[in-house]
Amino acid sequence: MVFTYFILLNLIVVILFIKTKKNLHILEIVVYWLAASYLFQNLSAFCYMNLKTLIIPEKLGFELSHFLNRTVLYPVIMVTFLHYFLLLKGILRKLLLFLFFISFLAEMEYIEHFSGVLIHVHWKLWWSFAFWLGALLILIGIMKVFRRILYKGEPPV
Amino acid sequence: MNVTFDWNEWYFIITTTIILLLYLPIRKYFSPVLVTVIWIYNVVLVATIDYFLLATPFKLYIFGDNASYELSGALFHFIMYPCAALLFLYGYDKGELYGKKTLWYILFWSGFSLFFEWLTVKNGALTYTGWKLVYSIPVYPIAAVMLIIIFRFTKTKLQNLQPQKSN
Repeated sequence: MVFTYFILLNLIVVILFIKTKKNLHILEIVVYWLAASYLFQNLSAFCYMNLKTLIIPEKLGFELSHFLNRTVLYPVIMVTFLHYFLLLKGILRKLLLFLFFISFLAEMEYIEHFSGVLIHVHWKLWWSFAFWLGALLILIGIMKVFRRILYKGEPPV
Repeated sequence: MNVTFDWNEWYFIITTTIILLLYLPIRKYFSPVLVTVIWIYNVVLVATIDYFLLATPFKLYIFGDNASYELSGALFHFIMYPCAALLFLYGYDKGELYGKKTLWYILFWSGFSLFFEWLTVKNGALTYTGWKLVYSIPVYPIAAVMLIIIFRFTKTKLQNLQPQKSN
């Protein structure tokens, strides 16, 4: 049941992402998607395997749900953030964008928590906000570097 | 977490250094964009598969000393696999091993990868807790085909980007 719910959620997010006209090159989408997935997977793996502050219950449906979310749901949201980050001009708009996406990503994390897929143990809420802020900042850094080598000084297409 | 610096850490360091030294002479063969795509694709693919199989409910193998996320494992993910993938693609592209030759090339690399996995197990860097070496037999050819697909896709997209840039 939980897995079906997450399949639907992932499908909706992917369809919305495909429908959105993006100002990112296809290779950019591939690289940022992979990088975003790696960032969250590292947090999940480190907290699950070492710190034991995140727990995935011993059920195949739950593991598959978390697998789907860390490879599709979170990366799609994070790449969408980059799309709007390039689109919006002005510090205030970008700041609001950060606030919206950090809250949205933390909310997704807690949807996983309340559905029993990724249980947070001795976890402080601000850790989630700090992680998503850091992850989005790292992703912006990756985007800046990758765009520089992709367009080699030429204005981005 | 009970990590000790013993032979398996040395094994990770030695094999990673060897592969890095093999990669360095060919590092300029591919464009920085292609290297970035292949590098990140491999890091993420291996990290995703490892975490999926290491974690609950499968727990099929352990990297290093125990079932924790170790720095030596991260070193393997970050350097060993991407360098090996780029060496594989170098041979494929430079030698123009297309068509039937691709099949033989993939078979050769799959055989070598299986030997390397066996060596990693023998050196205590990888411990099976449910996985078997025979399960890896289909994994390497599939991974090689996927790698070639990603390589060709990236190359095509980069070629298409060139006219756009000159406009």
